[in-house]
Amino acid sequence: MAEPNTATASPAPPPSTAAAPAGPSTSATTIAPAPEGFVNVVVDGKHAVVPQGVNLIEAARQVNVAIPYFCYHPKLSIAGQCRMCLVETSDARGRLVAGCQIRVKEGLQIFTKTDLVKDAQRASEEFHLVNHPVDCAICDQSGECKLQDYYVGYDAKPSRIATYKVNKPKRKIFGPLVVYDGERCILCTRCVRFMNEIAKEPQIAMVGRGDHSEIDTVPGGQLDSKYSGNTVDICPVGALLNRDFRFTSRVWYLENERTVCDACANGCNVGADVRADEVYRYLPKRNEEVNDVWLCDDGRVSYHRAMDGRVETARIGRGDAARFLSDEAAVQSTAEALKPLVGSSELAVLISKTLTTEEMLAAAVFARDVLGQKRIYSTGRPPGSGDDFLIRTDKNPNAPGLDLVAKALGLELIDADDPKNHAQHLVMFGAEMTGDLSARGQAMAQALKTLVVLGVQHTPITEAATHLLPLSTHLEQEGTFLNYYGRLQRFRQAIPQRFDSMPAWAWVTRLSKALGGQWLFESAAEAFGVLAAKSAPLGGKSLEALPDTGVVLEGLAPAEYPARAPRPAGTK
Amino acid sequence: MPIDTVTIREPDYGPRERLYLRELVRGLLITSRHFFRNLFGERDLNSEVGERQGANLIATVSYPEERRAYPPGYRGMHRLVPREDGKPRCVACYMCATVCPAQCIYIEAGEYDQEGIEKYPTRFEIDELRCIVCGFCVEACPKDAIRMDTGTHSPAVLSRPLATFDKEALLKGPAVSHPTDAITYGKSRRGEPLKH
Repeated sequence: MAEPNTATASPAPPPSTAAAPAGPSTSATTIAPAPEGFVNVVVDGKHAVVPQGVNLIEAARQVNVAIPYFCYHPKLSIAGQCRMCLVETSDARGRLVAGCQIRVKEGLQIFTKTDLVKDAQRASEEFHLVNHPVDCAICDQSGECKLQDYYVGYDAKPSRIATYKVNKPKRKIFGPLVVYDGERCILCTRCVRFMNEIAKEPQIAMVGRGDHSEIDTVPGGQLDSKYSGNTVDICPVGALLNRDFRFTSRVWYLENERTVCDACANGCNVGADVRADEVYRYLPKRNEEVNDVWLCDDGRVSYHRAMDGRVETARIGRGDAARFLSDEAAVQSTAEALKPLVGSSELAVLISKTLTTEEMLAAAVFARDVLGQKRIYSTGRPPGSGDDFLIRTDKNPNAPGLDLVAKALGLELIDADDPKNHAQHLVMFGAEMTGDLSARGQAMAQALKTLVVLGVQHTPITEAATHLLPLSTHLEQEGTFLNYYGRLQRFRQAIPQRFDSMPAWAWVTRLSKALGGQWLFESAAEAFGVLAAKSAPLGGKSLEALPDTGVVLEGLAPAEYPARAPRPAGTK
Repeated sequence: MPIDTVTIREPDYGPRERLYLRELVRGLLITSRHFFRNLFGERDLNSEVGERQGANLIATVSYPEERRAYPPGYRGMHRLVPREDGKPRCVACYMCATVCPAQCIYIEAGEYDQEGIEKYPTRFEIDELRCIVCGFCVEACPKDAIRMDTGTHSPAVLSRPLATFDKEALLKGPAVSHPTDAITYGKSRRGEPLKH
């Protein structure tokens, strides 16, 4: 429970479990030889066939035996710092070995429940708590803290420490997203190893000796890597905390809802921690083909888009003439404004690359069949910086999705910035702007005669809108994103629709009804079905059948992945 | 399986009980005694109701001018206990809000910039209408920061929002300090100022 998204990785199950002896068997003589690349082990009397070379913790995990650990992390190098994973093996009864460092071998028996092991676990936990302030009441980690869980599970004795505790730096700001509490730190060095090995930006290190040891940033520097937030996730205690989340909620109030990050084209799998209709933080979800178990800092705070500065109610008119309306009245008024423009070349439909594929499909069929357009224009967030790991330069989550939709419907797709765009009347699905359009921004938007905007957050464009309809974010609806690598990822609704907002397909349904059109979508699955019937790469897939980890669509996978990007097995 | 049955017979009332006259007169005597005591007796309004003597033994308590004192363990209105410097002892740990079966406590946490104590409630509200006066919040509090020792009950109000008491309204009563508080005032337990 301490870190549902990061440390629960386990090796893939053996490919041919049927060939391996089935069922638990305690007698070593009846165990058949393990398949190539696997070995037989016995954990607390339970037989397991595990891949060669895994350590004792992972081997025990295969048969649901938990060996406690603080410093071990499946994605990082082995440190052996915490001594919590000490177990006995058949190689040397009566001696303890570190379960993280020792690898399995054929016929090895692992004992995790002997008195010797229990005593060692209790002693380790007690040592970790010697200088721990036990300020759980004000610690954000409590509720998902390994020290707490293991105290209950392996120690559960009152403190025997009568001396004073060592005072260390508290509330030390490490960087824009991370704050450090030296007294809570158990010096497992997970954060240091993460910055060295995964982020490859060695910005923090362990300094000092003995009980003066602490984690600190390198002199003159700070923890400002784009991946610094992951150190908070992998911190087993409350030493490193997320400044964005700090003190906003206790973790036991939150439900973790699986969704996809929409901050860039990578489409990292995340769990949104929600309570009622509010998102409090993003945590990475394990998907070894997309983001492994990591998440970048920009993505981590991108949930704010759904929380802050939202367009709350429908508005007609701009400036002093603005009136706030119910959604029915707003749809009627918008439909009246659009009616004379049907089929007009003065009208342009802009679709944002931040929408879900289902919203894009609805917007595109609305443009083609109801508004009589032959082309659609793409908008989106301007490109930003990227790297060869998880951050893509394209900051839109679903740019390939718009291509897919335009191709499936036979529509010409043009960048909204294109000089061919002379429209006097605009319908914008999504209020983001790219390039020159964002530079011209409000002045240009104010000059438009009709500007229908379906927007999530207030921008200069929504201020200039003549008809503004509140749009839901991807967190408030079911749908899919097609990421940079051609992977179609499904997400479910994480929070209720906030304020008066609706997904674009729901607005299209209402506008279409008011304009006498035929496109009436009841759900995202219906919109997906329409697209799947017309699009070759989707090949008749259905939204319900898509796996949580997504599928790479045929012909859309890149020839080569960036150097460090996680990728499906067997791809370059 | 046989069930044991017990037959209860009604007591055998004699004619004196059946007549009921004696009990009627006894009851009327008590009523009359109180009536005449209230009619002619004097009373001292300043004495505690429980400590009245002599002529002050008038049975009627003229609420609300006179009030019976609540017993010592009485769970009354909540209060947020102040520290010696007048700020709440509360560290916004949400234990009370978590344990509250009526979900009547709402807390928002903030951060002190300089003090040795990090977290404090920027908002602390109790909806006394939802409160079921179970006292779990007092038991759950690790800082002795919420108590129900005010000796009053939540007052009657004319509209529902008025029954929601905020931090300022709840922060009252005598300050409380504990020996272990030293560390929260920026000192180590040896009493030395913290270096950091």
